[in-house]
This record gives sequence, C-alpha cells and structure tokens, in this order.
Amino acid sequence: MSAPVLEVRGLIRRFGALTATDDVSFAIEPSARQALIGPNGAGKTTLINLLTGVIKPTAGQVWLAGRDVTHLQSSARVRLGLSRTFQINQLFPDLTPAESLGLAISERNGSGADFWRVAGSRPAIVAEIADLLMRFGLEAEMDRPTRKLAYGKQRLLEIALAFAARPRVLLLDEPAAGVPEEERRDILAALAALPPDVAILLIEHDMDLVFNFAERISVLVAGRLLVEGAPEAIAADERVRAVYLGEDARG
Amino acid sequence: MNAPGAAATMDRLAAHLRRRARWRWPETLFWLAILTLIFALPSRAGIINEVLIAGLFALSLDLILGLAGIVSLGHAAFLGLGAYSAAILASKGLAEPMLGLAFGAAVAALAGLMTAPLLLRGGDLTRLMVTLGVSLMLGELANRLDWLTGGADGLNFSIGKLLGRFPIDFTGQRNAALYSFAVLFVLFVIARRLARSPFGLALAAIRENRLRADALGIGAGRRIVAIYTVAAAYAGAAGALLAETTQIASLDLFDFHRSADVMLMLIIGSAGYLYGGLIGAAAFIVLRDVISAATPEYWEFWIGLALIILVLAGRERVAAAPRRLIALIAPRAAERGAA
Amino acid sequence: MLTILLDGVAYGMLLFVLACGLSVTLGLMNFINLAHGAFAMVGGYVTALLMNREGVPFLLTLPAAFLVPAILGVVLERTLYRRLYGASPLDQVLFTIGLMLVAMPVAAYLLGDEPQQVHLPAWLDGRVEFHGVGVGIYRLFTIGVCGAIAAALQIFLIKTRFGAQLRAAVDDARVAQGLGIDVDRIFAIAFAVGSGLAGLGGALAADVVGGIDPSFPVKFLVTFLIVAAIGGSNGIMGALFGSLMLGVLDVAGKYYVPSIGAFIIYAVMVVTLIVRPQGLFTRGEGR
Repeated sequence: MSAPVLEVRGLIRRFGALTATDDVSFAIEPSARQALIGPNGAGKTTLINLLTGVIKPTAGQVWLAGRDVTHLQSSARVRLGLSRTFQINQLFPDLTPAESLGLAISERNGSGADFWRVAGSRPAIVAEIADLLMRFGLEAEMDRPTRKLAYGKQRLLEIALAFAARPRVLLLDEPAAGVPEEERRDILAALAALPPDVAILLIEHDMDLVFNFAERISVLVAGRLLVEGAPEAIAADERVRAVYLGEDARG
Repeated sequence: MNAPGAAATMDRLAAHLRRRARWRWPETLFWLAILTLIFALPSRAGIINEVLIAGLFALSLDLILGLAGIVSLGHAAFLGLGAYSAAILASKGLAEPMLGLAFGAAVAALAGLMTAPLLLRGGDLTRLMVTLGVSLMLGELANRLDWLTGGADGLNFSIGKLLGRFPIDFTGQRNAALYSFAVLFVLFVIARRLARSPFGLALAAIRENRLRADALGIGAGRRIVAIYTVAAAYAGAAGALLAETTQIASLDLFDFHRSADVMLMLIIGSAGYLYGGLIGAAAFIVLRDVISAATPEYWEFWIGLALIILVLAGRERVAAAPRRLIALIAPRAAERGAA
Repeated sequence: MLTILLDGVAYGMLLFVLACGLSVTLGLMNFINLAHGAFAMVGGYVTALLMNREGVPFLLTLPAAFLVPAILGVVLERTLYRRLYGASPLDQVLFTIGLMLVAMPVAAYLLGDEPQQVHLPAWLDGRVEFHGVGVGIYRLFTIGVCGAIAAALQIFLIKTRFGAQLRAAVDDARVAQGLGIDVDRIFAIAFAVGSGLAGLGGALAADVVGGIDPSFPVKFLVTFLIVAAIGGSNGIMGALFGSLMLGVLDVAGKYYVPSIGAFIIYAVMVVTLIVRPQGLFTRGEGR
C-alpha cells in the first residue's frame, strides 16, 4: 500500500462549546475514490475547510503528500496540490469558461503574472483548455459569460476549475447540489472520467452518486467518524441505517 | 473524443481567445477621428488638449477601478505629483517636456508603489480612507513646501520645446494637443495590451470573485500593487502633461473634487472598458463648459447632483447608452455576447 | 503641558461626539456615509446663525444644533439613504459624496464662503487657575459636556431595552428582525441621533476650529473616518478611546512639532493600518 496522499490525524475543531470536528483521523490513497457522507450538520463542510486551510484546527494535523501542512495558508496548499470545489459555485460571472480555465492553467504553470503576452497565445495552454472543455462537456458554452450558463454547466465548470490546477487531491463539496435531475448524469460522467492520478474525496448527499462513484465511504456524524469501508459494507451497516432513519436517502 | 469534434473545438477556442485581442476597425476609426479633429479645429486645440489629458487621467483610474475593482477617493494625488514633478524639473532648467513627462510618471509611480501595500489591508472602506488621506496629505505637503512648490500661488514656469523643436506653450497649442494625443495613444495601447494579458485576466478574476481567485493560487496582493503602481504612473503622466501644456502647477490639483471629477467621468463613460474613461472625459468637459457658462461658481453642486441622480437611477441604466457606443468600438476584455 | 493635554482631551472629546454617528451607521448598517460631515456643518451653522443673527444665547442654541441635523437626517434617511442599504460600496460612496458636494455649495450660496464665527459667551471664555496652570474654561466645558454625552450613550446602550435592541441589530440584523425587533425603526433612530450628535459636535467645535465654513465636511472627512476606524467595532468606549488618542496626538503634535503637526493624523492612520492588518472596520467593510 503506497503512502497516503492526504492524511488527517486527530483533527479537532471547536467553536466555543460546540465541537464541530471531534478527533477525526483518516487517510486517502493516491488514486482514491472516496466519499464522505453524513446527516446535515455533521460537520462535513467544516472538515473540508480544515483540510484546505480556510479555518485552523483546535488540535490535530493535516498531512499532504508526506508534508505537514497544518499551518499553511490555503493558497500554499493549492500550490502543493490540494484543490477544492465549493458547495455554492464560486465562479467568475463575466469571464467565459475558456478564459476561466485558461487563467487557472496559467497560474498553475507560473505564467499568470505575464502582462505583455496576449492571453491565449500559447498553444500548449490553448490545447489544455480545449482538453478540459471537452473532458467536462463545456465545449458548447466555451465563449459565453459564465453567468449565462445553465446551473449544471456552471457546476461542471466549478469542478473543471478545481481540476485545472492538476491537483494531487481533489475535494468536491456536494458537486451535485442544486443540479436538476437531467444534468446530474453529466456530473457523474465527468467525475467518472477523472484520471486515476488524482485522489478524490467527495462530499455528497446524493446516494446514487455516492454509491456509483465511491470505492470507499466514510460516515461522519456529529463531528466524529462513525465508520469507514466499502460501499456494500456501509450500505448494510446497521448504525448507518439508524443515523439515516427517517431521512429520505434518495438520490 | 472524435478527431473532427476536437479540431472544431480547438478552432472555436482559438478564435474566441484571439477575438479579445484583435484591434478592430472602429477603434482605429476612433483614434483617427480624434487626430483629425486636432487638425480640423485648430482654434479648439486648447479644449481638445484638456479632454485628452482628462481622458488619460480617467484611463488611469479605470485601471484600478474598472480592472481591479479598487475604489479610490484620492487619485488626484498622483495627478498633482506628476504635475509638480514636471513643473519643478522644468523650473530648474531641465525644460525638455519628454523628460518632465517621464519624471512625473516615475515620481507618481513611486508614490503608488509605496502606498499600495496599505490598500491590501481591510476592504473598500479602508481603501477609501487611505486614498483620501494620501491625497489630502500630499496637498497639505505641497502647501507647506512653498519654497519648492510656490505654495498657494502655484508654480509658474516656462517649458522647453518638445524634442527641441516644437513649442507647446500658448504659441503652439496644436502641438500641445498632438503631444497629449501621442502620449495618450501610446499609453492606451499599452493598457489595452495589459488588460488582455493573463495578468489582466487575473485582475478581472480578483475583482469578480476574490475567494475563487485565492483558491486558484492567484497572489492577489502582488497583482494589486502592480496595477496600482501602473495606474499611478499613468495619472502622473496626465499631471505632467497638464502642467507642461499650461505652464503652471497649482495646489488645486490635489483637491478632493479632482478625485471626485475623474470618478464621475469614469462612471459616466462606464468603467472597465478602457474607452469609457475617454468618452466620459469628453462628455464631462463639454457638459462642464456648457453649464459653467451659466453658473460659473457652483460647479461642485452639479457634480454632486449628477452623482446622486446617477446612483439613484442606477449606474447600469444610466451607462447603457455609452456602453452600447463603446461596445461598438471594442468589446470588453471580459465580457462576451453575440460578438 | 497640562494645558496641551487638556486641549487634546477636549479636542478628542469633540471628535468623539462628531464621529460617533459615523461609527454607528457603519457598524449598524454597513453603510458608508461620507456626507456625515455635512450634518456637523449644519449644526455648526445653526448655532452660529442663531447667535449672530437672532442673539440666542449659546447654550440655548445647542439643542437646536442637535435637532435640526437630526430631523434632516431622519428625512434623508427615509427618502434617500434607505434605498442604498444593500447597494455596493461604490454606490454608497458615490451617493454620499454627491450629497456632500451638493451641501457645500448650497452652504456657500446661502451663507457665503467666510467662516461663521461662534462667539462664546463671557462666562465660557477665559481661564481658571488650577494648581498654577491656566486652563481654558471652554475646554473644561467641552470635556464635561462630551463626557456626559459619552456616558449617557454608554448607559443607554447597556441599560435600556432600545439599547439592547440596537446592539442585537448591530450584531446580526436578520436575526434581530427574526426576533421581532423593528430594525427599520432602529436604523432611522440611530441615524437621526448620529446626525444630531454630529451637529452638536459641529456647534461645540466651531470655536475650536476657527468657525464653520462650507469646506468643513471635506476638511474633516479623513479625521472622521480615522476615528471611526480606530474605534469602530469596539463600541462607544472604543470610539472614545480612539478619539482621545487622536485628539491628544494631534494637538500635541501641532504644538511641539508645528512643521509636521498637521500630518500626525495621517501618520496615525498609517500606523493603525500596519498594526491591525486585518483592516480597521472589521464590521463595516465590503470586500
């Protein structure tokens, strides 16, 4: 078993009297397809924020590719290969998908500060933009302002942007949230088509998506990791069922 | 992915990206028209010169407000710095205009570079306070150092001939206009190029969604300092031009109302298009001459009223007409549509 | 030395009364009101005019100096300001600058460019001997009045129900509204009181700054912003502390180092920014 690409050790986060994250430890393998599920309020987004450095932990550590990043800023973690999507789309409304992706790629390979070259004149970058557009099914909208895109397409762009950073680990915060039924298949297809060299941690409520996608599922309840295992085991686990009792576990 | 589909995508993508940068014929027409005006209306050279300089000043504000989304209440600081730098240089005997121009821009750029880090802290309100504070402080400083700046009387000086041959004082009004035109044009081309570069795109990203820009690893701080310095240089150049073509630098260049004026010019014309400032400046000065013929002293009142109405009516709606005009000339760097 | 200190404290107190309204609107409504100085100007003019044209005694003009801007504030708030509560910072800036730019020429047109002087009544003019040091009576008066106002505000905020509602609304307007607090009314009242206090401050400050003239709003804009910045989100006591510090530094600076004395406040501004890198208006900023 190769070394984990993302590792969390004894992570604790308290907000006053509230313990949002309660001694969480887990590891993600380099080619992982892992999902994190749990009822509302379980602390999933807090966990993502801790992983990405948006908030600092009360205790515990975060390790990225064998490096302790617990005290690193978000942008530094991005540069080390940790990328995320947001639960609510964080896009550039007036830029087109092509421009947004081009920007992400430029930043990644260090030419983002170039002030003289016309954006889009480097064939390698253009080729990569095209590749990303096709990979995520955004060719048809490539030259329209992002705010004019359908919500499902925007969600795909959100994932594409995070992926454009060529991360080692990709954290997806509810990628299917708010996406109309017809467009969810596109999201699933895009996720399935992601290359194996990216480890993916998926937070989702959509059980169809989770069970179709994940090779390993972690269940977070009230800030603690309840159980972790293969999808079939989780589906059969009594405790998980109890947690979701009364909740409509529909996709 | 099938090969024909991929090729078509590549073509469309390349075309889309290229379109942003291409120099379109209405733009060429725009600049030729201005040049023609200078030659066609020699008696108006004075006001044309004023419009060109105001346009450059508005362009410099557009670089920070329109491109980077930074609100400034004290952009006049750099106007004044540029003007006085050029004036002082000329009055010490180095009277070649181009030298004064470069010096004015450099001094202003330095001031921009030094104050920019303060803008990175806090949000809009801190920026307003800092920019306002800096401009008032410089104005006060200019007032104090009256042995250098002439104090309240201003600094009168004589300017040398441009490139040693072309007078740009009252005997060479048309030359002055051409001088300003040339400077504006060159600086505009550079600004245009900058806006369409990856750097310009990053600024747009910082303006549109700071959170996502950070998540992409864009170092917002450095980019903002860079554009602020450039904008300061441009404003300094405008100040230098103003001083050189009028042969006087006065304290009112640091006044708050100068910063308010240029903000209004940019808002009228629409920020973010680079051409907006030029059009707004022209509209502003023409309107000003018309109105102040009627009520000379209370110009401030009309500006204030215009701002109030502008905001209440909604900047978007008021700017719709100029924006359509501008969209004809050049599409916005970041906005697509049917174009 | 004591005189300088006292002058500084008096000036600081004045700044507090002048600027606390700005802190409140900033903290309460996230609203950048750059026209705040105009209300101070109105108050100053009210006192000057009542005294100089109608012969009203100084003390009696003070309530008017409070009420006129307060009423003006309510009217403007109900009609114009409230449309912009959700607007972008740029819009708020442009709008309130517009108001300020309108107010100043109107004042110049109606009352001329020359500063209107407020002549203190005899009993306030002059000095008393205090341990061998001469202390201006007006300074003491100012400190007393402003101090009383500050104390009253603090008590009001902490002890009264309205004060509690105000604090709740400052903390989180939406939640407060959900609790049944009439946030709209609170805004209007807070705005009126803030404007009124600005006017009162203007009246009290008239003697200190050499008269009220049409350029008052813009001359003091930076100062007000700095006070609101330093004290800002720390409540009344924070604003008071900030004002006092600024007042003392400014007066002391102008006395001991007259050549650069005027720049002290700018230095304070820069230093505060360096010391508090997260920005000053931790509540009132739009990003």
